[in-house]
Amino acid sequence: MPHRRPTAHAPLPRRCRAAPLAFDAFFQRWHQPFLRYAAMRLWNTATAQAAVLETALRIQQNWDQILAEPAPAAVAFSILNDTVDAFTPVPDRLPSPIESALSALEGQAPQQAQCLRLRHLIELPYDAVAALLDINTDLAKNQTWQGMRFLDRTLNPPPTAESTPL
Amino acid sequence: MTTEEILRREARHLDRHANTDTDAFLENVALMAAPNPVIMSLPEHHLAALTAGPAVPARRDHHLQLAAQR
Repeated sequence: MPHRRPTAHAPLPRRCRAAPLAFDAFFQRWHQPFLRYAAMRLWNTATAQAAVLETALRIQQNWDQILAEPAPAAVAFSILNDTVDAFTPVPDRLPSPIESALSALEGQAPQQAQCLRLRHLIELPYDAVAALLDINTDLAKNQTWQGMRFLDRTLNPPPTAESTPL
Repeated sequence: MTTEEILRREARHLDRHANTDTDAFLENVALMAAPNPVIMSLPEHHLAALTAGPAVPARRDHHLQLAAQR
């Protein structure tokens, strides 16, 4: 296993510090959802795994501070998003209709798009969606519902007068 | 096909990408985070020099300069 070179940004700890138990417990809960999320964004298993590993290392380096935050899962999720942003998605792949619709929703109501993705593509329960976005569960449900209405309208537009046969 | 059905189909597609053993993943994280024992056995001032600056890019630049002079 290759070791990372020490850099000026990440001072090398003098002693090997074992991962704290809480960190392991945290990733026992979030590893699979994070992996699904990265795979959804990057559409490549190996790249998604690399992105989640990178995320985990960044989280571990700042674990004490993250744990002291009011919403550690939301901080971890923002780190995941930043890390995934730095990875290149698979090129030359046409987005599916649902991806196109979600991208359109992202431009108008980013929280609705994230709620929809986390609830219906990553298949997280609402309390987990709320934890990752640092919102309450009712708002997560409401945003998901509104996002679903947008998708319905986009994917199944009502017939117009022109398209209705006489 | 309803919107829910389309979303479920997309979610099933993601299953193929994500099903990695979490315990193995955590072992990997611990290995990657652990400092190299060879580097850690270096004296303190060597360690400080290692962490101080971009040694590799500087060396690479030096080699590039040498290559340009040839």
